[in-house]
Amino acid sequence: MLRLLIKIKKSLFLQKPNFMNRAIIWFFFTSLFTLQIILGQEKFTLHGTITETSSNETLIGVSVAIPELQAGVITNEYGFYSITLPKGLYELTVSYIGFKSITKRLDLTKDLTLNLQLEEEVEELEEIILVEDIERLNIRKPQMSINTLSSSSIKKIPAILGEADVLKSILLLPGVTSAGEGASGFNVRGGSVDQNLILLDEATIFNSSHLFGFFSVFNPDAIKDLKLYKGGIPAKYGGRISSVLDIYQKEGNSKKFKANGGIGIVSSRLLIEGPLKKDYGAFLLGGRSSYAHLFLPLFNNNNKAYFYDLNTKLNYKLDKNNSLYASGYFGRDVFSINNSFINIYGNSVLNLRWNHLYSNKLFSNLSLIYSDYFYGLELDFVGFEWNSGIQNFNLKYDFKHYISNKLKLNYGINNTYYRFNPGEIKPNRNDSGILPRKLIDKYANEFAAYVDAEHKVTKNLTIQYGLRFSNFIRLGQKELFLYENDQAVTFNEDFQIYESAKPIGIEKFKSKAQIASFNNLEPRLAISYTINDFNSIKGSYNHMVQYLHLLSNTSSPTPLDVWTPSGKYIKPQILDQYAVGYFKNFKNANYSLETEAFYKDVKNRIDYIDGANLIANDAIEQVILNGKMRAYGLEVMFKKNSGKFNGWLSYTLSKSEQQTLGRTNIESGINKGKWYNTNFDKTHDLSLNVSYELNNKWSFNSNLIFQTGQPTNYPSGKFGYQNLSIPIYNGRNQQRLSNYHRLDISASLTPRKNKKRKLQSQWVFGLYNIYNRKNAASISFRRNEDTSINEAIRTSIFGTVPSITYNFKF
Amino acid sequence: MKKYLYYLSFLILIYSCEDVIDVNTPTTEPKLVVDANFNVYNTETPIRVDAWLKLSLTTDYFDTTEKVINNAQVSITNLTDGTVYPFASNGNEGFYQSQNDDFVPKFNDIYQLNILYNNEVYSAETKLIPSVPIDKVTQGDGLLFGENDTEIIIEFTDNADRNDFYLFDLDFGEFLTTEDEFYQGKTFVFSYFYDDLKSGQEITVKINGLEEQFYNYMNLILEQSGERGGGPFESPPATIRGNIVNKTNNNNFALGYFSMSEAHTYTFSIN
Repeated sequence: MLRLLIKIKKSLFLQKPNFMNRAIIWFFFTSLFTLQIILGQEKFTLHGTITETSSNETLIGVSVAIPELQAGVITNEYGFYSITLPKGLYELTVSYIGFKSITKRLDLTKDLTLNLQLEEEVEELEEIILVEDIERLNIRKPQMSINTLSSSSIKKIPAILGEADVLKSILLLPGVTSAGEGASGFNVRGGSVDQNLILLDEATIFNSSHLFGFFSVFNPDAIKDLKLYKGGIPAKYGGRISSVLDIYQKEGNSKKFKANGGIGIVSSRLLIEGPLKKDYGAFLLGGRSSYAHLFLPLFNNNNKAYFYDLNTKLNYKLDKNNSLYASGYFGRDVFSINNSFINIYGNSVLNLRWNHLYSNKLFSNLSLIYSDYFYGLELDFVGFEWNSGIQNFNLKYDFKHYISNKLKLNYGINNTYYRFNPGEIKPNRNDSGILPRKLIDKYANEFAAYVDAEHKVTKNLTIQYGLRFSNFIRLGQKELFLYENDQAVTFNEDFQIYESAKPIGIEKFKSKAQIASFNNLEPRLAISYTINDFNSIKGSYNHMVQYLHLLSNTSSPTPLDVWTPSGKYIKPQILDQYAVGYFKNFKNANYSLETEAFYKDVKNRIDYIDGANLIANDAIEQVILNGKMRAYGLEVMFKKNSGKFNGWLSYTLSKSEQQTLGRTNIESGINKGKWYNTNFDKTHDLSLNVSYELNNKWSFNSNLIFQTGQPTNYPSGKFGYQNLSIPIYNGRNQQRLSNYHRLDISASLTPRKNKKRKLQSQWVFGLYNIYNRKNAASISFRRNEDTSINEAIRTSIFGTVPSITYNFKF
Repeated sequence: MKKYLYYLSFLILIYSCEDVIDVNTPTTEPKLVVDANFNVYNTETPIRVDAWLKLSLTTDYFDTTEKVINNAQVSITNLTDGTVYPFASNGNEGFYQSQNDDFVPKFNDIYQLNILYNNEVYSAETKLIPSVPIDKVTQGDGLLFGENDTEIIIEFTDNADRNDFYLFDLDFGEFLTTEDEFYQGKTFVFSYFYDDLKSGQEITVKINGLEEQFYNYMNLILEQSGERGGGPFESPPATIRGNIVNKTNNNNFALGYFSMSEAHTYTFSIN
């Protein structure tokens, strides 16, 4: 460890920081010095944890504000807050959407510990009071390009087949799309699916989708809170360049035993929670499973297609300064056809955390995380088994330092060790001709250290600035191919095509050897200037580096895509993103308007040569070229925050494209070296989400979605060859599918008799794609087998889908 | 093999529905298409050679008329021994046949195809690629995708001394490519599933040996012709360039491929 630190120190100095980096470092240090001067007056620190009354569940993002000082703080991911104020008599307001606010008189004459409990707002409409302080703080906070959704708002959104879904909900936010129905993952601001850092209780999730994207891997019952960072990403996060989706699971009820669940037409779920030791520890155990023949209604009973997942969490409060957490996730998708085709894949995560309070101003969290993704396939009719995957071990230590009410520092270190299994093939029975074969495992280590400051410079100006240092070492593997001039792809001038180069040798490595090493400084900056209590402008810049790449050349990623680390032949992706925004609250913060414009530029975006085969390929470098990518756009989000009738309208106008030039003048590059639309480029993306609470029995919700069609290709001609009709294509992603649109509605019925009994129930009725729009998931071109005439075939996935779900809790 | 992994997992998406729609496709200038794959059946006596090739032009995608070329000058030269084999058009269908009965490609010799069309010279080189015989074809009773499946079990023994790339022609316009990376030198058995076969129906399965480059070419051809499904997991299509070079004007390239492969067949009738 020590050696590693020294090495990092060295490389920090070896690396020449560019002008931007230098400016930021300078800025950072000068601000720290000014801060020392401010700290003159007699001050005291107020700190504590905010929890929910009935369950002791900690609450994230609760505003603790002193309106008369215009000072405030928000609880962190563990419900902790700390604020340092001058001696005095204050009125403290603690508020959180959906909860009753607390106002407390406070005579601050010494350091204080104040643990508070908030009570959930009873669902009586007259009582919904909108808390101004939260919105005011939003306006002042430098964070931009961030969307937050709570578990309850996710559950309100009508979803396909009646299943509330985390990923489907974030698709309604501006700047977030997916390639289409049945596409795994999501795309943020024109970035690819693998550029999203998805964290579940701080552990990386590599594949966020079940059943090819129809469901996400997150059980909405087990989730407390999620935050999506699209830009201005704090220095705490790194390793992915497009976005961070930070999801926290519930901790469990440490007061009493509770259960809730739901029975739907495709899946059922159950979650139980209760105290391990009253008020000190709790457990949570959640499970969800779809029914076995979900997607194979036409077949006989030898076929299966289902998914399941398990969420667990334990927490224990050792004393007032120490808490322990353990959380786990295990999910699998299972497909089986007549036992001759068996496919199983999914994520597992195990995570141990220790929260320790060094002082009333210094909060720390130490995490030890294991996470893996497994993909397994058995094809009996060919006689083999196949598996691939990625494993990682992550140790991180994060600190939150509440230095003053003007300055909060976040700093920490993070180390991840990766093992990549690109694939292993084995005979599945004795008479199989398949030879066992293991593709060469790859190993890497990623280290990062960061400092990030949230600095209130003046009453109206808040700046968040930070710096992350990242170091990535591609560790030794058994064998690595060598190529002439280090070029693993060659260009065939006669046929104008890229071809795999023939290796000229093999280099063998010891496991401690370094094949390649990269060091990067990643400055981050976000500025917020408040014009008045209702208007603010914000700007942000972030420079980020991604060392892992998901190998995928299909129009949307598939579960069997494998991850590969940067190394000798594949360079890390480097992003620069700039964003500016204008934020406005009006009508007493009943309405809010968020507008943002962004531009981003990615270097070393990998691209694939025509016909690249990415599966079971031991020399992936032979089909990859380094290209670039850029995206820009405008996002608008208009929200009505309160009242019987509320919801939001989000609209994004954007462009996402990539380019891979020839390395020399002779080479054509990909798509003749011209910019072309990425698979997930959507010019217009509009969604309208409206909910209406009729009375305390019935409430209604609807989604209206409109999107430009996904880029695709139409043939410009055809030729006959070996009695086949082959379409001819020019370039990549030159055409588009027709526009995508649909309307969904749902109605929830909460029976009146609920009030008097322990068992609380709710019915949710839904209609997805109500006007039965046949949205194209793809258009393919082929010859009709019977008529021998060429046809364009539109594949559409969901027509109108009705659903009904019964939810309960007791 | 790799492609098995690849496309089978996507046939799961059964919930979807397909319909034929009208689409306006772009147009491009016609280009020469060379369909010149010579099968050599070395194990038959006398040695049989499918000694023909076909020339045509590309058309718009939805064009229903075929544009064949009957007025090109075609020959194949054995560059190793210098023999020239002239080919002549045998009618109006675009086919050209060898004028010599002794056109029997030999292993290790290099052959050059020359075409003069529209005052431009097109050329390509290839050599004969060996294959292995099919040991056995039997009928199984397994089902994969539906009740109407007929399982055919194909068995062949790979040659351990070289890296092989094979193309199976499974009749009815169905093809399969496979390479021996994972069964080098072994007897390899795999099943193929046909839809709607009748009892008594005869099937001829053919195995061809391919050069690696031609193997990659055939993979692209099969992928783009719709043989491998499609749907939301298509890989980006490409202009599939073969090994034909326009010596007169490099930009006006031709499509298609010139190849020679040893072939073996196995004929089988359905119970």
